[in-house]
Amino acid sequence: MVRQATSSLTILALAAAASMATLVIAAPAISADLTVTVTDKDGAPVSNAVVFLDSGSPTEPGTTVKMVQRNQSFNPDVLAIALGTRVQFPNEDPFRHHVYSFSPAKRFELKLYGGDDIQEVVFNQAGEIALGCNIHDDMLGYIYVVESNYFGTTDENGTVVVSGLADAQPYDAQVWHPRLRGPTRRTSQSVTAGQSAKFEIGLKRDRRKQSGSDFEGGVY
Amino acid sequence: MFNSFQTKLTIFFTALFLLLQGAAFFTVREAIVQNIFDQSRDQLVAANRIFASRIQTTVNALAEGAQILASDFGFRTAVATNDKPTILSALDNLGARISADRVILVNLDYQVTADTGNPDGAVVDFPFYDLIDRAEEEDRAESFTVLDGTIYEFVVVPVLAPVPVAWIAIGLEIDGSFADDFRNESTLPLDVTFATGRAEVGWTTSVSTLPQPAQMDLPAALTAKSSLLGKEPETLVLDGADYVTLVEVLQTPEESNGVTAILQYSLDLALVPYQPLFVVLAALAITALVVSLLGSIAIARGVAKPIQVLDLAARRIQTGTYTDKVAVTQGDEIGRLGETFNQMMDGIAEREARIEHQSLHDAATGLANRALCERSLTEIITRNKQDPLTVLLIEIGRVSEINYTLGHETGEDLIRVIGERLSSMIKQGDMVARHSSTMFSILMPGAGADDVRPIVDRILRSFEDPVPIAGIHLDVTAAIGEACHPDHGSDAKTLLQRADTAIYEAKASSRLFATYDPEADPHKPERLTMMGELRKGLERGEFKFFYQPKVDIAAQKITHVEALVRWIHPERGFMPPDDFIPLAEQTGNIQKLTEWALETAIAQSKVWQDAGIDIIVCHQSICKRPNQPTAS
Ligand SMILES: [Cu+2]
Repeated sequence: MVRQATSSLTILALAAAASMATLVIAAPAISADLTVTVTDKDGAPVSNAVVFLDSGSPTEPGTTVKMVQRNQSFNPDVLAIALGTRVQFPNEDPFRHHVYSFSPAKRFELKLYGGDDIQEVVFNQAGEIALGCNIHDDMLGYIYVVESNYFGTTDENGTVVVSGLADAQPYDAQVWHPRLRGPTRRTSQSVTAGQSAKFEIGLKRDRRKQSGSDFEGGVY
Repeated sequence: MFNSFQTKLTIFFTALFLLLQGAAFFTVREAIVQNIFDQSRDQLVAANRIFASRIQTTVNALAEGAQILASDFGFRTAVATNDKPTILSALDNLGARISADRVILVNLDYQVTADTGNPDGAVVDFPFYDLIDRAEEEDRAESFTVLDGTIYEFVVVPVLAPVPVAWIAIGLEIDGSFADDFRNESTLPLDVTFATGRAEVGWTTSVSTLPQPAQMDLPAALTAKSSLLGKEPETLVLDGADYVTLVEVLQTPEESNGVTAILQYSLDLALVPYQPLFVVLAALAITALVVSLLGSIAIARGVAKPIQVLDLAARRIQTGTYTDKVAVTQGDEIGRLGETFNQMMDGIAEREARIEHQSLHDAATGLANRALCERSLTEIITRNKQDPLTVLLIEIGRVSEINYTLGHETGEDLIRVIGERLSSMIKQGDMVARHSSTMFSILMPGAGADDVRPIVDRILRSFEDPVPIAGIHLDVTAAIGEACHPDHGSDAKTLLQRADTAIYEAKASSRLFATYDPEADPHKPERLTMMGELRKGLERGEFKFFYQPKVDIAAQKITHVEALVRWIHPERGFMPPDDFIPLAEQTGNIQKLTEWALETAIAQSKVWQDAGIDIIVCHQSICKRPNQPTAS
């Protein structure tokens, strides 16, 4: 784990050197990436953290995405979408689910449906939506609606690359995670496009039972 | 009172017994109390465990019920939509179903959104943040708390949708019925008290199964005995009764007042089954005490009684009584002491009798001595005041002469022989005694003058024959004086003295026997008086010489004068010499008279010679025997 972290730091340093060079050579770059790495207080990578940047431009809804119910759990665990995006809830299990949300950002209920039914919900309010199933108490998933065109979710290495940014331009980057300590479960930091950023966040315990979850070994 | 040996012995044994019995009784009692205390301790520790598990069971039941409600979709909907009436009714329903006393819904901002204990209350903060935080961490939290002055055991569970959207706090009130139930379910008559407060500020009894007075004492007693907080059961005194006490300080949130459970077991109550044993023990002790008291009295008496008998005997000896013997029946040391005592008494009596005999008898003759004679005489007179009695005194002549010439031994032999003779001559009931070295006395009770005469004659006749002593025939004379009771005296001394006087009279008149004659008695009172007056008269010059001239007819000349003494008595007047000279001779006053006469006559002669008259003065009666004033 430590070795991994060291190598990722090296990559970051190289990336930083490259951006510096770019900044010196050509002033207004059209497109740049931002690599953000999220770790917890112990330095362990945190997956499923939503990173989004304040774009300043109107948010464009993304194409329809899926939040699949498979093996009695939501897949992915955290789905980040832009405001106004339509989400389908396909049931791939041989039994029914009863997905609901009591979250203020979107309250809805998808009563007892099977694989044949296509359930779609459009999310028109930014914020977090905790998804549960009335039949399976252990099922827990999140949809995070951002009012931004630049966002992503960290992978199992805790890393996400946000593309299409104006090179060398500073941004206000925000990180949300369902277990992040604090009432909004969000933290922000200034970043510069073309460079990389690192977030260290404090996490609460994972309230889901580990058994019955298919994220074996995953730090969620 | 405590001086008596018997009392001391009794007190000692009784005190010893009391001490031992008391020690035994208290040792047994102490052992029982200790045993009960140990048992109670164990029971209390067990009860405390039962209490904890009972609470846990209750809490589990509460949590389960709350969790069921929390996961109910309708309820979650109501919570999510903040449908307060529905929430309240659901909470009420839950409370009723699982017998919870209070159900509170707390939102994510620690605010009370519904409270069955205060349905219409405004939104307030749930005071126990700590409990919520712990529930967030552990899905469930429970604790004792004090809310609105009432003790609750609260369980907090989240309302998951599917993440926590609110908290259900469900409470069991720790009230009197809870304490009573607990008490009734325990095997021992346990007392359960729940108190609010902390060690630093003191306690307040919230609910208790203790009697009211003991409840009142409890907070102060707890404060006074802080060592109880160490969870080790100890004895606490409440309202004068001993309680084995276990104090369990219960976990409470920081924001809550402290809660303490106090489990107690009354030692007095625990001792109740032992009361019959104590009664039996006490009865045994009292019985044994009485028996030992009686026993020690009996033993003490057994030892002390003979000592008292000996003590009395010793006092009798002190007063000179030797006849009452010590009655001893014991065969032990005391018995032997009694025997020795009796022997000692006999010895003393014998010696005293001998001493008395010696003091009352004459060693030479074995006859009664003068003291015994006087005593006997007194006794006889006292016994028969009117009866006649005659006392004879017999003076043996020439005794000093014999002593001088033949030795004292011979003299004593003589006296002894005479004594034997006299004894042989008297009749039964009479008594011969040695009156002085030369005199015997004979007492003849009941004898008048006529009865005496033959005996006197016989005695006198016996002296006509010589007495053979040591081969020598000694001629002995005797003079007898007689005095009769009651004519001559009414007491021993007088009678003896008068018999003596009679001897004198007999001798004066050259007889061998005389009866006392009061007229001739120089010891008569009037005579004694006159003797005193004679001395004074000499000093006062009441005596005068009358000179009777003697004329030598042939020479026609007064050759000498005879001085005739005369006493001019101031009362009696002129007294002739015959009236006082014999008396003066008898009493020894003749010497003074003689001195006076010589002085006066010589002085007169001198006067006459100086005047040239040649006259010789002489006095007939005085000159006769100028150096022999008494008759003896
Ligand atoms: Cu389901």
